[in-house]
Amino acid sequence: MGRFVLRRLGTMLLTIFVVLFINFALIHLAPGDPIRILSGLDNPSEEMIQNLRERYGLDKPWTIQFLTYLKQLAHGDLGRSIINDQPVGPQIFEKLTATLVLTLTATIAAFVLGTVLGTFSAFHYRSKLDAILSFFAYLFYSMPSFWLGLMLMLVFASWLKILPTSGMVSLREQQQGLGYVLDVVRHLILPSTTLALVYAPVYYRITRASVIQTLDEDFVTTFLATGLSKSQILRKYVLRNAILPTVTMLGLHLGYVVTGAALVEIVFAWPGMGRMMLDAVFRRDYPLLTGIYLMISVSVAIAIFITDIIYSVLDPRIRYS
Amino acid sequence: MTEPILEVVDLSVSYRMPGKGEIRAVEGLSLAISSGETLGVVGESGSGKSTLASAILRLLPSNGSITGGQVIFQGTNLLLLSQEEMRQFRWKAIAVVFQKSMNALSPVHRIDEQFFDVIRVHQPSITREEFMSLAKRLLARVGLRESALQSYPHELSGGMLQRLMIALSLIHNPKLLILDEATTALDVVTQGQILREFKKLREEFSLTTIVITHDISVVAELCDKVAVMYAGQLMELGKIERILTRPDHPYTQALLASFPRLEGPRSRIEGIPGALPDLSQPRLGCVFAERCPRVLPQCQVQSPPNYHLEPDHIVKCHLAGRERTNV
Amino acid sequence: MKATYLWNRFRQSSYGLVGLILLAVILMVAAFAPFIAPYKPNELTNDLLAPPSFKHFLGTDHLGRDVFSGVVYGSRVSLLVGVTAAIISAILGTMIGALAGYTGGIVDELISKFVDIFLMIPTFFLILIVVVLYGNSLFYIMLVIGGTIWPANARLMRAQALTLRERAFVKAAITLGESQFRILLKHIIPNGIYPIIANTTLQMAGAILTEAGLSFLGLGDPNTPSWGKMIFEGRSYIQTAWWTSFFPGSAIVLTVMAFYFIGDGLNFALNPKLKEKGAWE
Repeated sequence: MGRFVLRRLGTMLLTIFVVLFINFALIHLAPGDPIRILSGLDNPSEEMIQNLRERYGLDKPWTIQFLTYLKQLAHGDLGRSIINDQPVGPQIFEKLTATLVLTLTATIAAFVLGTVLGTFSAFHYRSKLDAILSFFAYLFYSMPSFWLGLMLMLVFASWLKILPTSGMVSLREQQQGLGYVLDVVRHLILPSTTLALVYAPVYYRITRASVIQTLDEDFVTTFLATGLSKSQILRKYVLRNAILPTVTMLGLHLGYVVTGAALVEIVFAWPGMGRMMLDAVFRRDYPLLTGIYLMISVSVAIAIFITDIIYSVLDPRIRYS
Repeated sequence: MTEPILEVVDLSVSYRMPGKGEIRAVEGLSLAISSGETLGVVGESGSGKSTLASAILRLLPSNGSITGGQVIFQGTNLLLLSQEEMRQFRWKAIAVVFQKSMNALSPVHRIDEQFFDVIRVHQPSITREEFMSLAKRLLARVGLRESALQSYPHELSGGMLQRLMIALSLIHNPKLLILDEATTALDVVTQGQILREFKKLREEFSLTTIVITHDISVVAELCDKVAVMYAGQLMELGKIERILTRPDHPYTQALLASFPRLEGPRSRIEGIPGALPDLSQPRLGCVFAERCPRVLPQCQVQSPPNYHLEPDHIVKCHLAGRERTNV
Repeated sequence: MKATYLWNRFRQSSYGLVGLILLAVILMVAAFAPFIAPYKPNELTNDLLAPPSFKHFLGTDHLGRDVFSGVVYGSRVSLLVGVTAAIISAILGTMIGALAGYTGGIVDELISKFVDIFLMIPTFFLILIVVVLYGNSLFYIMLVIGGTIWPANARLMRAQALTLRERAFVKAAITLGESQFRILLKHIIPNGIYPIIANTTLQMAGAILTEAGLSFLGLGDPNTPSWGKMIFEGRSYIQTAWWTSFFPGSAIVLTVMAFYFIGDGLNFALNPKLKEKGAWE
């Protein structure tokens, strides 16, 4: 087991390294002068050119540049944003919380919704209910998240006026304590529902297929022959065997928890990383962009690593591969 | 013959297949087994022998249904019981060893845990210690070390798994044990070992066994009596020595002829030309008629009754009727 | 001939058939767009933000452009991007996967490692950055999407190659001295391609959604009408003119669903085990 963990750890670190390299390579392979890209200006001043040259070591061979880059990273220096000349790192973390609130809620909701309905469908395989649920799973899975968000906003915020249109908190009054929490929750409902509806079908399909397959396994027949009650077979043996692919999916998803909501955040003006990413993209704020990309990649690599470990705990067959 | 422990009377089982209609997997099957006996049930694939096992345990898939007959176990017709009442019989009275499967047990749970759950179905208040000592003794009887209990199924070899499943089947000391192709998926060497060990177990536990297999050599090794099935019907039933040496039914004869012998004059191995009839079509006449080398005109139009040539010998063939009048 | 067998199986899948019909309709619409659309997609009329009517079936947007025509022409972009990106991914994935699976040994290990790492890289953002840096023409978008989703196909093909290379006809070819390249091209890939075909329909669906997302962010090709762009532009007017965003989005949903349905049908066709209920019920 220990060797397994070590090997997975190694893969994770290797991945992060590769990501760093890609990050670095993109800027240097892009058409155009790196200085122009880094400064964001067409005609940077001589002083700025010198400044950037020094900081990034642009006149040195690229191997040295890469090492400089790594060294900077080790110091937590992700560069400065072009737009506001603030360090990139703190900016990202500021917006990160809002994004995490949204995506974690949505992912968990999607997981619960999809898994429960998927299991239900599997038990009623080929019934009318199963057919209807499967169709809706397809339907929601086919929807662009931003479009669904817009439509939900239209119906519930504009027409029915029961939920706020955008933002994370009401701008009119500043609430404290419990009021603040409730306010956030009210604002959270539409965007997280949107995301949950778009993600849930994946869990639904995986769980449904897995449960159907597990119900067909030989040990189910064995246990039925021994007189074990159906509910006990279900709860203990079928679920534990069937849950494995779903857990993998959840783990992967949690890794993307940091990135996946950008489109929905923009639709609902949720003050998370989505808006920041978009601005960075349009202003060509490259240091900010790479900083974001780096963080996303690292969180994905870590999430995959943790998922692998958890999976190996659940499935003893994996530990020796 | 003493009162039979299990009596199957005129059993019929069908499956509903989409696009094919009703498939008659078992038709009018009757057999009986007495305490201490070992009855073999042989046939090719599709003969209905495995369906027999599922029907006895009432574990047919949802598209299968018992369309007629009785299964009388120690006086109780199992077919009339509810699933809940059936649970009382499962494993405690009748147990099964299935064909070797790496997934015969849950791959993600430890073996002792699964065994513990099984024993508590009928002994809910057994303590962990009592269980462990029972399990260890049982494992020792089948030649497994107690470390197997702490393992996961995938850590055992095929042969060890089958021994484990045999141990599991004996956990409640069942009155009737069904071996459903239990040695089929094993290599010949392991199969031999397990058969030998099983003979010892049979004595120790005074087992009554039904051995379902396509392999006549297994039947020859283990059984007192054997039932030969074809296309869901019983062709011949009799004592093992009689069946092996002087079979009466043409199908049995052809079946035996298709097995090579170790001793005796070398002869060509004959297959049986033709194929299983379409089980979804109702049939006039004998089900084996189209492949029978000794077919008579009446075989095509009249299904033969079960002739009792001797008290323990049944043959479903018109040829047998010519020798004796039926009882 | 395996093709007829697959088609017969496919025909049994209702989802597959519906998807096929739906896709056929959409293809027709895209192909005959100039004949179907009453207006040019960028044609400005005097009816601004007009609700659906006989004159404008699906209404108009803030510039007076006919929504119906936009939807019709937009199908071209979506189909083009979806199909091309998925095909790029299929070609890349098949070649790399077949090479890895068939060759085995150190080559396989290296390639597999590379694929694993690639899989861990969050792709949407990578596409975003590449599009920002390298330009947002349709060409780049298709290339980049295809260049990021191929690992799934590589994995599928590798598994197939691993099995196929043990088959008798492949071993026979090796004995006969056929070159590795020929074996890959003639035996391995044609026989192992089927799961990739099913997966490609799914990837087409995903690529369409990705392109829509990019257009929605304003990163799509500015010159071509696209459903994502229409939703983006309609967003500001959503409260008063919901049709500007609703219909392009519905078009996306229908198209994506068509591909998913076909994928479902293909999966069914490729899987010989018809699911039956066990003793559970």
